[in-house]
Amino acid sequence: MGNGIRMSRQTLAVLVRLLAEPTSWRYGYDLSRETVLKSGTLYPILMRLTENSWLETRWEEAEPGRPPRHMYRLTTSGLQQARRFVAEAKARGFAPQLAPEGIRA
Amino acid sequence: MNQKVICCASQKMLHGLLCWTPARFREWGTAMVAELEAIDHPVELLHWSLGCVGIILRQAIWNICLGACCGAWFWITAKEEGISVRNARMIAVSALLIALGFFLAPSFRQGMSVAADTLDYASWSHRDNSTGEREPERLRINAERERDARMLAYLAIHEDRLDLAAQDADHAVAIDPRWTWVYYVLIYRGTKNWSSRPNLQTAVWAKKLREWDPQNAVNYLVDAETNYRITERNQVLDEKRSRGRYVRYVDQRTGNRPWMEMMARAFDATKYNSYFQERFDLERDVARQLGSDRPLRLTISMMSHPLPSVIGCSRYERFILSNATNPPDLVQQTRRVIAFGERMMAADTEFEQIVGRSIALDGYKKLQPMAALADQAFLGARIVQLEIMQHARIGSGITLALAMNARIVETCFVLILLAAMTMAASAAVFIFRRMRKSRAIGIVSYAAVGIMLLASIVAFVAYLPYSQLVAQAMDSRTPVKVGLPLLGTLGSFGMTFLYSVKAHVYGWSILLALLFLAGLWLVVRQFRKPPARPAVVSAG
Repeated sequence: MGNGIRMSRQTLAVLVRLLAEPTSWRYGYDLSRETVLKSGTLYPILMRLTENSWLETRWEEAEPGRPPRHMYRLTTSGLQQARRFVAEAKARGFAPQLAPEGIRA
Repeated sequence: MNQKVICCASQKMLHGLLCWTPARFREWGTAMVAELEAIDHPVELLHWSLGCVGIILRQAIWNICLGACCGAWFWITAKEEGISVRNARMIAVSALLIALGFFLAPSFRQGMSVAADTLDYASWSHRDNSTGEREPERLRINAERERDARMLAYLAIHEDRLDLAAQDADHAVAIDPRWTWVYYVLIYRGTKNWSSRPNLQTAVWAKKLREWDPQNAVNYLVDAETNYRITERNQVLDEKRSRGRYVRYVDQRTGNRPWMEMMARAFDATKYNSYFQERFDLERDVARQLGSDRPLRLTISMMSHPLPSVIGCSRYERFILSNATNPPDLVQQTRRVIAFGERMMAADTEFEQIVGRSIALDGYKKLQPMAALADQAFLGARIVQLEIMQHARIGSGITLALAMNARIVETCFVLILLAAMTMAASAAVFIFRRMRKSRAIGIVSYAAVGIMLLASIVAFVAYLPYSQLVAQAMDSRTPVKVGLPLLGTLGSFGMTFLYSVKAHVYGWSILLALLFLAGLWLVVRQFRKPPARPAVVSAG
């Protein structure tokens, strides 16, 4: 596909989850549970999306005794691109594999 | 408690690994590690940590490799050094590239693989049926999809599990009945360990073989021997049961009626073929198809091809000659024996030829006194001829003549291995010393490169005669009678001093490399010692 992002089933799953709540910041572990992706698969995807400016990241405010966590959200351009790609993928019958609602998410 | 320990240990380990990753990745690494605190299940915690280790290691290795490449480039160009140092480094790098370039030559690669296989004692004692391929399952799926009977037959011969081998053989024969001879190999494998339960399928396979090739003596010999071994096993087990121990067993083949019937049909059959040529063609074709560069494996595979029982043939021959009731019957029996012996002499293996000659000789010697006067001269000449052939020196002179070449190739192989290990160790020491220069490492690396280049050239030249012989043997037009002795010259690799130690070459190499590393460490330490202070001499 375009912009140096390989539109795999896993990438699509991550985008679908991010599109579900586009304005809220998401944690890596939560995305991993919702998409049933292992950390070794999820983070390279997040890194690629960030490198292509589809994602913006920030560190949360640190709570005492806990390290700060990294959070992710689609950028404005990323939101448009992601919507377009997900629509195209669905039109081709390319369905992302997600965790069943209520079980893992 | 467990979770806290796992979390803490994972965090420490991952933070340690992060030091080796590039700076731009560290933020992501820290983000992954930070998530560990949010995971409340120990198993998920472990999974998450393993995933993190995978990514961080990948980044760290990439970073180290990139650093090493950059370091190597700066080291070679060495702008701050003098022209002589730069030249020396350029020469060393060129020598290394030339030495590595030898691996592009197929004959050199083949020589190294033969040396590795020979020095590895396990590969000589490897009489099982492994294909030597990493993915026999993939080969099987492809062969079934493409209905490749040849590959299925090959897999049947090399499959360790007999039930799976039988399935492959059935598929191969269903596609192309020409591969029915594969059952011959399976029958021997089914009865190899006769003290264990025999495979009941062997009778079915033997029947299929006889129906497919009814005029072949070998198919009756194999059936006779299989049946006899099963009966014999039962008798020995009965003896053991009744007496509580094994007893010395007397061969009772001639008292076994089914055995006698099968042997009679074998002696009366019109041809003798132990499928050696078929097996050789199959092994050679598949080796070529798979691009296998390991002729020694092919030789060892051929050595494992079963041959009919010699004891059975000799025993039957002696029995019928000594139990002839009258002279006409004796003449008839001797003619049967001679005919069988002559057919066996035309077989593809030297072993079968020797046994065939021995059987035919017995027949001729019995027949000569009873033959007509006109025939006696011919029989006498044939007896003398066979006796001369029987006493001829067995073994290939080429194998002995090339023994020195084999020694040279093996020695060079070990030297190349050691040089490669030394260079790797020097590079590791160089990296761990944070790229600080060391005279000792430099000298050792130059020496290793020189040894590698020299050993590569010598090994290439020393292996040339073998590569010519192997190329001829692997030519599809070369028959097994010529091809196998040519491949047999690789046997000179088994005459080397290292082989006699019967040790694993890699064990020796690792030991030598460790000793070398210890020596290197001592040298490096010596160079790092601060210079001794000059003695203080008091003025008063």
